[in-house]
This record gives sequence, C-alpha cells and structure tokens, in this order.
Amino acid sequence: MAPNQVIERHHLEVRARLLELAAVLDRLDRAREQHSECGSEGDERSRSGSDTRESLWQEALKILLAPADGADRAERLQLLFSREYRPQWRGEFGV
Amino acid sequence: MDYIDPHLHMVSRITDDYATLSRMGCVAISEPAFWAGFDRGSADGFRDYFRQLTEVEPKRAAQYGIQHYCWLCINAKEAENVALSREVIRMIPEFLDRSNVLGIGEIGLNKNTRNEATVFLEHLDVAAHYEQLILIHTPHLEDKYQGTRMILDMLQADRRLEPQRVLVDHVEEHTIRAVLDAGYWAGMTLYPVTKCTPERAADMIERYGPERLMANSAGDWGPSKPTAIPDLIFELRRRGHSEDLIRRVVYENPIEFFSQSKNFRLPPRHAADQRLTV
Repeated sequence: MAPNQVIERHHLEVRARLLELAAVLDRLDRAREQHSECGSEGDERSRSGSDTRESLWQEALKILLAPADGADRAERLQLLFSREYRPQWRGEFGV
Repeated sequence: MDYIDPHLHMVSRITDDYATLSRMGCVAISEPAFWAGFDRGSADGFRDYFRQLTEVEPKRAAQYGIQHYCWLCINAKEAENVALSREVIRMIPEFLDRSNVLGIGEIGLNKNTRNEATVFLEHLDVAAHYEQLILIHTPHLEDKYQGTRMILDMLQADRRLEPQRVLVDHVEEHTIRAVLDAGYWAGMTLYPVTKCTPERAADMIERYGPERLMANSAGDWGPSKPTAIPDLIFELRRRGHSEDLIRRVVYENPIEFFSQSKNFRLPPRHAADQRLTV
C-alpha cells in the first residue's frame, strides 16, 4: 500500500486508540489524586500507585515516538514486555 | 478460497462451527492436543481425549466435507505433574498408527519451568524415536520470547530432529525471525485479544515472505474466532496481494508440511463433494 493509503485507512483507528490511551493515563492521575486526598494508609508504593509496569508504558511510548529504524517498533515493543532469556538456562535447570 | 486451519481445537467448538468453516472454504483442520481448561487427574482421562481426537472428531468433521487430523501429547500446563506426564507419554505410541494422527503436539512451554522443559524433552524423544512430525506451542505474553528461545535451544541440541519437520506455533514479531532463520516452520495465531491480529499477521507475511509460514485460528474454549483465517485472506486481498501468495500461506504451506506424515492425504475437492452426497 502507498503511505497515504495506510494513513487514510488507519487514521480513525489510530485516533481512537490514542484517545483510549490518554484516557487511561488521565484515569491513573485522577486515582492518584483521590488516593492522596483520602490520606489512605499503606506503604509509599501503595500511596503513589507507582508500579514497574507503568515504567514499561513510558518506555513503550518512547519506542513509538522514536525515529523509524527498520520499521521494527512492534518487535521492539514486544521485547520490552518480555522476560529476559538466559543462554545458560539448561545448566541452571540441570536438563 | 479453499484453506486449511493447521491449529483448531474442535473438541471445544459446536457443530455449527464446522458448518460455518465449511461454507467459508475450510477443507482440512489439524487439532493439537491441549489443556482442557482444568488439569486432568489420570492418564485414562487422556486416553479418552485421544479417542475423541482420533475417532469422534474426524466423523463430525466429515459430515461437513472437512478432513480432520490431530496431534497427541500432554500439554505444557499439565507438565508440572511429571509423573502423570510420563504415564501419558508412555501411552502415546498406542495411538500413533491411527489414520488421522500427524505427530506429537502441541508440546512446548508455558511458564518456562524445569518440569516443563523435562517433559518437553521427553516428548521430543518420542517424536524422534517414532519419526513423527512435531507441533510446538510457545508461551504467552511476557513468557513468549524467553520460552521460544529455550524451545529452540532444545530442538537444536537434538541432532535427530530435522527442522523442516517441526512447526513452531504462535510466533509474533519478536520470535518469528529466530524460528524461520533456524529452518523451522512458523505458525501465526490469529486471536481477538492476545497473540496476533490478521493485520499484524499480514505485516509479518510482507516482512518475511510466505516461505515456511502458516496462519491458524487456534480456536478453542476461550475468546477465539475459528473463522479467523478468512479474515487474514480478506486483509491480504485488501492490501492488493496476489491470490497465489494468499493461497500459498493458507493452503499450500500446510499441505507441504503435513505431507511429510504418511497419514496426511487430502482428497481433491470433487472427491470430498461426492462424499457429502452419499
């Protein structure tokens, strides 16, 4: 497909998905504000709602915004959300 | 367009699905043994399951002009019970001569544990000993990359296994290259939520070409769509791809891979039509 065909076909879909993403991030901000106002008990992690998964979201957004480099954003995003592979695993497992 | 779904769990689907698949052009299905949604308690439970796969489903499919083939194993989710797994593995050879059995599958990893790896290796040994084709399940989500690399390590370490006789399923953008580069067949699973959409599968076909690449629905008892392959055909046509390329991915490639089994014999379309009218 030509570039303009790709944009034409996917514009509304991309717009909708970006909106969904923005709404989730807004929801998270609101939840933090409400949680903070309530002064709920618990550890710092619980109060702030910080989570390593949120850091992954931030990293993922950077990948989406990065300059094109071999059209491999989907692959890089998949690797970001993957557990590490250790080549020595068979020795560790003893199999 | 006639097509083959190389991975579809029809024991979990209703008869209406067979009718719909037939109307949409599906001429053959291969059904790997898998997790029933609960851990089975005995080897006899698997014996009944293997009878269902080799006796009941072929008859159900034939009523709609669809050829039914299957694969046998204990799946990775139940492999944590190594003792049960070994009982089931010992039973598998009893069924290998059944006329619709293509090989051992879907074996693989789930959470990438030591027990899963142990049971996977023992399945490979059966496949090598009985010269069976192999169909492999790769893990879900964050476990997929690690698990796929571990599976490739185990396959490549066994010199008895020929890569062209192994299908590694559920590949995605981060695992497809390693599978194809090592000479194995790769399957893309079209799921509504996880795994791969028809659009992303089309992207991978454009990027890697059709050689040793297949698509499947992996329809089962969870959120899935047994008619997902026609969605991929539609997407590829929308992008202007040739009928030859589409037919190669959804029909000729499964035939080429399955034909390595003595049990695979896809009759011509007119023969299937005649059988329907009997």
